[in-house]
Amino acid sequence: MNRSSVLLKGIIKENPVLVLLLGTCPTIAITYNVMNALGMAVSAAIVLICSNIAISLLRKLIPANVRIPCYIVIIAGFVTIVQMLCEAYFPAIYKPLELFISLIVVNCIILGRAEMYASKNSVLDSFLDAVGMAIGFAVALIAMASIREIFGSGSFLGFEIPILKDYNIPILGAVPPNGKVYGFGGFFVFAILIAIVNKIMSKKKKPKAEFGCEGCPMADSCNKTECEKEEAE
Amino acid sequence: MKEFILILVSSVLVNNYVLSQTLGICPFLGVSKKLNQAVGMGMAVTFVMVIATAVTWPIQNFILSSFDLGYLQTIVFILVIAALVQLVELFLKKAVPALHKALGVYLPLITTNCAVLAVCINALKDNNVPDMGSATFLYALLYAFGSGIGFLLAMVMFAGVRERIAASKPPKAFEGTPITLISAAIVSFAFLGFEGLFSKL
Amino acid sequence: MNKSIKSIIVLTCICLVVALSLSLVNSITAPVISKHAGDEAAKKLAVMLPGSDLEKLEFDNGKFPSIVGAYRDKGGKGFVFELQTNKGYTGGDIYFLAAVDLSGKIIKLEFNNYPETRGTADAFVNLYTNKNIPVTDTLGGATVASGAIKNAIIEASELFSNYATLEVSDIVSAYPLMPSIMPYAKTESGDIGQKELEIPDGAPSTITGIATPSTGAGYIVTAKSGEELLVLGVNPYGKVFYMSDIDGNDMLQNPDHAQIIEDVESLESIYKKNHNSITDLMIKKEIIASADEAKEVDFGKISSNVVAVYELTNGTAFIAAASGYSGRITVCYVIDSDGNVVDYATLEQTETENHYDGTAYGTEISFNSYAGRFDGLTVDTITDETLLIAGATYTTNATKNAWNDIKEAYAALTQEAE
Repeated sequence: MNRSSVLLKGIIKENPVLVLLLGTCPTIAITYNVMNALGMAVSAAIVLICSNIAISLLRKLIPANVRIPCYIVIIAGFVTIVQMLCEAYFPAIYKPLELFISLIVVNCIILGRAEMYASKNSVLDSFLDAVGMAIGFAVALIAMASIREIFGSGSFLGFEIPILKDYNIPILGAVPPNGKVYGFGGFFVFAILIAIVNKIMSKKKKPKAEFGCEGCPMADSCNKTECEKEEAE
Repeated sequence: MKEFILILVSSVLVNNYVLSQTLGICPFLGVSKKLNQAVGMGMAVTFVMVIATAVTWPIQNFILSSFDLGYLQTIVFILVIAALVQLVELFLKKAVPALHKALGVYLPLITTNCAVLAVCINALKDNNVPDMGSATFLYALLYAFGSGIGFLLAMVMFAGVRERIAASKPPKAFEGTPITLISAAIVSFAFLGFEGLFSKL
Repeated sequence: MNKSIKSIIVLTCICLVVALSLSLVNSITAPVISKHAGDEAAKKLAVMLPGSDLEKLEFDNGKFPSIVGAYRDKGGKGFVFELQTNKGYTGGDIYFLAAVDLSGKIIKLEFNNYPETRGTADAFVNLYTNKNIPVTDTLGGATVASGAIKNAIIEASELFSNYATLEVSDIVSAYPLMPSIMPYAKTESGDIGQKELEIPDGAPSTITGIATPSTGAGYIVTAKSGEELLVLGVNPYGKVFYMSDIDGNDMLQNPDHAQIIEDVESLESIYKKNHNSITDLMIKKEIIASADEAKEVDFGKISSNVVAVYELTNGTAFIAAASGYSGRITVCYVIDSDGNVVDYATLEQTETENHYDGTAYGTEISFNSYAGRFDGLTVDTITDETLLIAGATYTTNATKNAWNDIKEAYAALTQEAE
């Protein structure tokens, strides 16, 4: 695999959210405005890139039987650092995302890439993979958030759009400024996005995005055979 | 007594983790295809949520806060959850193998379930129910239990919905994940109806 | 065995490295974060007393257990108290902020944590705002919570008196006399609902305060005559009908204070304001076409809720104001010399809006159908039944009080004429 494809695959072909269907929780929960999406994208990117580099550096040292706890500690460490820095220097962005920055630690994308890629590849490759995945995640988040904010609240990045503001559909996003966030919008817009991606993929004869065992970082410990047996029943 | 009901109603219906707070989506969408899977996962999640809260709540309030180590919360909590899941799996394998066979494959997935970590963090907050005042350990446990039951409820309901989906023919591009998500959207919309419950209680 | 030991060592090392880096970052960010929290808290306090520059006050926590924090405005706007008590009904912490001005009046009350019965927090805010500390009222049905909150406020007023004299302004000290001066001007709850008015620019320096009951049926003025503080009762026209000292001893005929009567009656801008608004309302409700059609009739000493009397072309218009459910209700009856009610209008009301079940409640008095009730009736044929609005007791009582007083005024005027 040449260097550029390592980087690029994360953006489109193996987009973590839209194709691999990982990290759906923040995608659905916080994308009611674009500012949140940007904040989350940047935070997740920092954690992803740093942890990929760290785990790749240590991949020869960490014994296989404790690798998951080690990865968790390292990832949690970076998440906490991002949390502290964000709370201290960007409090306005931190406030709506408070819980979800903590939840980056269980984001399947990060644990998944650590387990499936960083633990088996060189530091440079891991870095590029992380950057690609981070960009892919950001693309998905911002796409979702743009749709939800423009049509849900009639604004973009907090700036109101004159005509749309009067015709907004609150159920798609949230009632500003700190009102109820509607889960409906999240699920719905996500569905539309994936349908679009599926349409594009089907033209290229690629397999459709499906939830299941593959993307799951616990796949190895999950004992694949048992999983398939359940599916077969 | 009234507080118990308030907490339960709040965490199961009004602030349902999956359908109102949109957390715990991965297992919700991945494991709700069949009813027995849904029930198994729901019960396992509830179990882990309650025990995890039982362990993390005292840790936060007696150790982390006392020594000003609040920043270690994320690490400590996730390690506790991961360790708990391993322990539970080992225990079930030895003690109740039948249950382990049924639930076992889902247990590792619970570690990465955002809802579990979210419940542990949220159980510490005061005002999980409006006008409730400060949280106590018992309320926290009740909150965790309610959240788990809410998750189970959402899973079971959705398993039913998915059986119907499986029998229908959506447009090509929507087959599979998108139509599942749209159904989830509609179910979550329905749950909005519980919003007004508090003013009536 | 070796493998396990190696695993544990590696894991422990990673944990240690992570923990150390975290504590390093924490030492940098923690002060920044707590400063933000401090700013947030300061902002919340500043909102209580807008435009103030607050400084923290030191006090003995043992002596004032309910006071979490006390702050004084360096600019003299007043104080902000952070109060906390767990002596309420549920035993949970009631945490609230109170902003008090220098005269001891509670300007703003905000509850930040309220574990008691839902909704009573708002009731407490309504009950205690604009009252002077220490408060004496309690909320019906929430006795224990009232006691807890009241006692917390009493502690605050004790601390307050360490820094400022609980000075009661002249006009406030006259409030206890109001029930005897204006016995009819009470709301359903027995409260007169005094509203303090601003002393107009250029008023004589002897005037120290002006207030009016919520019904607007007259004025109370306090004035300083030499060293003596006098309380005067003024009818809506600006005619003094009552004067006494602060203890209620009648001074009306006292020649030493004659100047004061002149001073008080000179405050035309206060009194005139009332009248323009009444004729405007009469024009709006089509009782008259223009202000020229109404000639003021001076009916002397006020003894009722009647606010004004005008001579119109088709009869005499009596305007009365009484306290309904949500506020002042002003009604206008036009009665001719034979006692027929020739016109009626509800000039002002702020009663309960339409319910979703279709009943209009108090607002019915604004409907044309209500005015139609008086068609063909006379002073003697209007009964309680005529005025009854089902389901709106307070509103009905207000209209009854207003009508009874108008009936009296009509009788007095016709007797005079005879």
